Amino acid sequence: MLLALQGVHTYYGNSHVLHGVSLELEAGRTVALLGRNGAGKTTTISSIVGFVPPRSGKVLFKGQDVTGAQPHALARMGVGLVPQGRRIFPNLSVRENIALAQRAAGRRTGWSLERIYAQFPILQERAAIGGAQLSGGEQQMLAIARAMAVGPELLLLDEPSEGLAPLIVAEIGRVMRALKQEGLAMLLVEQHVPLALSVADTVYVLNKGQIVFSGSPQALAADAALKQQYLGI
Amino acid sequence: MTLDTFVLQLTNGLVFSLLLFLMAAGLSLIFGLMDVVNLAHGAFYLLGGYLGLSIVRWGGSFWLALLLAPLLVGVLGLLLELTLLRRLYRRGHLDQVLATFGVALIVADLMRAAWGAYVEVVAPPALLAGQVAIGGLAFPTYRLAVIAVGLSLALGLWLFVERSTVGMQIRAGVSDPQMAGMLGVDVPRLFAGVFAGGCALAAFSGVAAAPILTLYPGLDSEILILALVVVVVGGLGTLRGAFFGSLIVGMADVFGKALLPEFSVFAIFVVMAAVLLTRPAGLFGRATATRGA
Ligand SMILES: Nc1ncnc2c1ncn2[C@@H]1O[C@H](COP(=O)(O)OP(=O)(O)O)[C@@H](O)[C@H]1O
Ligand SMILES: [Mg+2]
Repeated sequence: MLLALQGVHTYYGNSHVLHGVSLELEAGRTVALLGRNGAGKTTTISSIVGFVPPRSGKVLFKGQDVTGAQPHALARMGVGLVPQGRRIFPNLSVRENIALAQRAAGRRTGWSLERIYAQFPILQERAAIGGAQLSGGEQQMLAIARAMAVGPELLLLDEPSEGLAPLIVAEIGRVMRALKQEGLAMLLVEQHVPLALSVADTVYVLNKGQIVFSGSPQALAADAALKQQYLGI
Repeated sequence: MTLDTFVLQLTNGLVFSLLLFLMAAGLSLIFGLMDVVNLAHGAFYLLGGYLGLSIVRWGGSFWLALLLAPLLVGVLGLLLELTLLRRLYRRGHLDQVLATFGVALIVADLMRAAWGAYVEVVAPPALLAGQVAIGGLAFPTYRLAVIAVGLSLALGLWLFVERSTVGMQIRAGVSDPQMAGMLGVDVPRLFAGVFAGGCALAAFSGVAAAPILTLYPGLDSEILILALVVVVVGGLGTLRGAFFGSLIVGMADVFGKALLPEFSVFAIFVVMAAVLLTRPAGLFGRATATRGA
């Protein structure tokens, strides 16, 4: 098992947000994590990468206990993050956003600059421009590029389609399917259910901090009551 | 005010601004990076000055003092970060403010015990003790040297932050430490390094200022307050803000004291209020990016 969460409980101060979340992800597979706004999807990601360490339960990566480990330790072990809201450094240029990831990744080898520019030619055009001046779509491409520059074995994506035009969403979908083809494992958080189901091997549905469904995309697609109750579709 | 006194005051203002900048640069980067208001920063400035005084008294040269005092204070800052501050990042601002304020009080008392409550004067190095005549005006050589060194350090710091790899990591850490971590930056180590460097810069400023401002108990909080005003005026976490903020506050202080001696403190706060009314985030401040928890 590449990634496993075992009974994770996470709090913000006194507010108990995750109530014993467990999930598993095998190498090379894609897991979609779905759920309504406020269900706890981002908190699950934050619990994995050490932004908000779980108060109890365990996070295992490649069999090692990484519960509450520092973000840089996880990055160096091979976890990449494309965060919700993209979180591009506004005061660094496009080139610097990438260089930072390449430099800090240590001995891992991730996407080279050539590979990044071949995948996203627009980033080459905008190499010298500050992160704050990019459009939403360009920011999302940069967020993916810079996460891949770290050389991850597991990529966490938190709502990569959020706020993007349909054309860009389609492009992001193509990139994710290509990454899957190459054997990268992904944990994909999405509100855009069709996009998620088009790449996922396994789906988990989160509601009020608890997993209420896990199964194949087909099983979820067939369960109208479940979709209505927990996804509002 | 005649033109001659104006030019001399302008020089004094520039000297004071650059000394302030060395204080405020560290304070601002630490604040921007770690979200910690280091209220012990003024104590480190004064400690640097006193250590410099002792080094000179024990027969060391002024130059040795300028090198050794910042080094010692930098190490002290590093130990403080590793043992105390590191535990407080996940807590609220109040805990951090109380902790650094406590350190400031303890260091202030220890300094009073070690160096007494007198005004101590440090002589400038013999090489720079005289005056230089420029256009019929006599400028103290030491002050001109402080301007030259201050401007060079400002330029060097700017190049370091804008052009070096570590500088890039610092800028990334200032805007989003969690994401910097997820891209592999060892943020705790970066914090410790910047904290130690900031403390060393404050101590350097303390030694360099000693021949001009002298050393006495209470100078630590006077300087700290001015440096905090600089950070507020210039905006958090940017060197450019610290630089121009220092110029504004330094000039307001020197000219305020020359023109309206009774109101000099008032002048600084009028300037601060005016800047904040027009630019609430400070001259070069960005509205801070939303951070995760
Ligand atoms: N930084 C925070 N502090 C306090 N509560 C938070 C914070 N972030 C999220 N929450 C709360 O935790 C719950 C789960 O949020 P989140 O994980 O962001 O949901 P999702 O990503 O599924 O939309 C929500 O009720 C939200 O209000
Ligand atoms: Mg979310």
